[in-house]
Amino acid sequence: MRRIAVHSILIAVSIGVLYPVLWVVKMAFTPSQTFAGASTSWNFHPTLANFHDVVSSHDLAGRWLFGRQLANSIVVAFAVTFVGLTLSTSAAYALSRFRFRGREASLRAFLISQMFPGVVTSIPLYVLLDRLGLLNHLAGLVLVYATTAVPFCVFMLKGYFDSLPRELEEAVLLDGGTHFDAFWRVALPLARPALAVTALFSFLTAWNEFILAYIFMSQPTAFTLPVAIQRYVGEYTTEWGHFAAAAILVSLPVMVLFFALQKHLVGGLTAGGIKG
Amino acid sequence: MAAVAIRGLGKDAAGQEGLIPILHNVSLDVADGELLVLVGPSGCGKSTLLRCVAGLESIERGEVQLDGRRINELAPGARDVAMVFQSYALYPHLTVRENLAFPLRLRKEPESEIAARVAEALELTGISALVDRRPSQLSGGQRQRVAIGRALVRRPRLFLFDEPLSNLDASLRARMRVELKRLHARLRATMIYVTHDQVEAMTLADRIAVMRSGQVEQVGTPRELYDRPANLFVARFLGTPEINLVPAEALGVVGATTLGLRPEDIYFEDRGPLAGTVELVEELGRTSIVHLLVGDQRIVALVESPQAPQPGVVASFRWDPERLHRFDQHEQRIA
Repeated sequence: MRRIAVHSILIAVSIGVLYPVLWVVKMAFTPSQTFAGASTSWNFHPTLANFHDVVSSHDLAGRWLFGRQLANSIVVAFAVTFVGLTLSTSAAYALSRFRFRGREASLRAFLISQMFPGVVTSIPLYVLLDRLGLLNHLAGLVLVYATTAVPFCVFMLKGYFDSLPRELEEAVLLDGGTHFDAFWRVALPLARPALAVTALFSFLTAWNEFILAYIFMSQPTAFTLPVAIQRYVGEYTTEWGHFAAAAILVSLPVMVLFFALQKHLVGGLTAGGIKG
Repeated sequence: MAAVAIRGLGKDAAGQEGLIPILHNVSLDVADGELLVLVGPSGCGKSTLLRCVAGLESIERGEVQLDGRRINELAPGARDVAMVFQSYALYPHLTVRENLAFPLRLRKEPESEIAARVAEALELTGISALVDRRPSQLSGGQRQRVAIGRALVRRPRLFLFDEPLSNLDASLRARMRVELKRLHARLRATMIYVTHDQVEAMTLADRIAVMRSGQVEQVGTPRELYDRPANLFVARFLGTPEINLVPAEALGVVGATTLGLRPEDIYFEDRGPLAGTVELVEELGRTSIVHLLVGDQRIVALVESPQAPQPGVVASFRWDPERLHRFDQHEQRIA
């Protein structure tokens, strides 16, 4: 009896969670652009028209918008992941292993920077990017995303490096290696699960971010995909079919990444917290 | 190989009430080819001393010399010493062969030389069959052999062991102890070995240095320390069962405050000068440990099992006056 009750609750919750997703999937495969009634009737003829429209969208000058926007998203996400990981692995290792002046202050600064919602800094960032001439430039977006990704990555990786036994690095030093050898040849290979999960989070942060990209990018050719999706929502009309198809297209790479890195993800999430 | 000289070594740690001395004016010599065991209770500074020699801890006062050359300022890798850690410190992402080759690769030795020396270390430690396994696929004893092999492969001037057998179970520890002793006899390498286990110290050492609270209490061969402990601490620390300590007046001895009597120096006799009630008897096979109550003083005797009295009886005993250890009010030995 108890099992039936538990399962009923679980099924109800699953339906509740999956319903909006199914709704979006249905809208994407429905040729119409309407919203009302789309959720209830499953009697429809699925087509790929919306996907075709989204993927083949061009601007007035005949430039392939979707291709550009996809490329923008890919470039920004990979660049943020690369910058985030490169800067944060060495920073996290130094903060974990060495005692130096300003160590505590930098850790606190990293922590404080994580406490503010990104949108709070949008105006000063806008002014800064404007002065640097980086508005509507992917480099500007990478710079902004990296400032939030680095502290987060540093905390994730520092936790992992803290859990690595110091004797391993001491053994490298005694074997004739330098601190860099200890980092490069031992700590970094052992941190692979943590690196994978940190990379994934950095990638996702950059891939999904909307508000700042919406503020800093005003030319459609400079948009990332989340901003491009939003353009289907107009002041008077909304192209729901296109919106849903674009949302699914944007989510696909993320889903693929999640499935590919699932094993590392679980390992990476627990690895930092468990000693030994 | 090399001779080690430690001169007036001192080191402090920052505590809540200012600096706390961890090592206090430690001076020691380790001869070329000697196995010196540093032994003492937890927190006595023996591991810190070893880490100072290795270069993993900074030296605040005094100096460490290797073959007469001061090495205080040398980086760990430049000292030509190898260390075996209690936690093994094997590189988990490398196979046994790669672990052994690691120090040689760091030093950019030619591949043919690496292969030859790895093979030699594998043979010496008896782990040739495990070369392609990773540390996680090895037992504790096998991991310890790999750790020793990684030290051997370097052919260092000095070997340092930091409680290398502490993580092994009792029977494996006894086996590895014998193997280490055999290895030392074969290589005649200079070794400093840290342990808190006095049995390990007694069985392995050419000489033992007993440490307490950051100071060396006594240095000597195991026999010297056992037969002529310099103070009550050393007398109590070495020997199982522990030495009996009784007030001198209880045995009518003048000119001493405390007397030490090893359990094996007590003999049960019908007309012995003292008698006590046998509280309990621990059978060890060939020998037995007899716990006696003499007045309010507990005395422990180690005798051949057939000579052990039954629990509950009053047994009289004697001791060898030549083997009586005399200590003054400052707990120091009276010659």
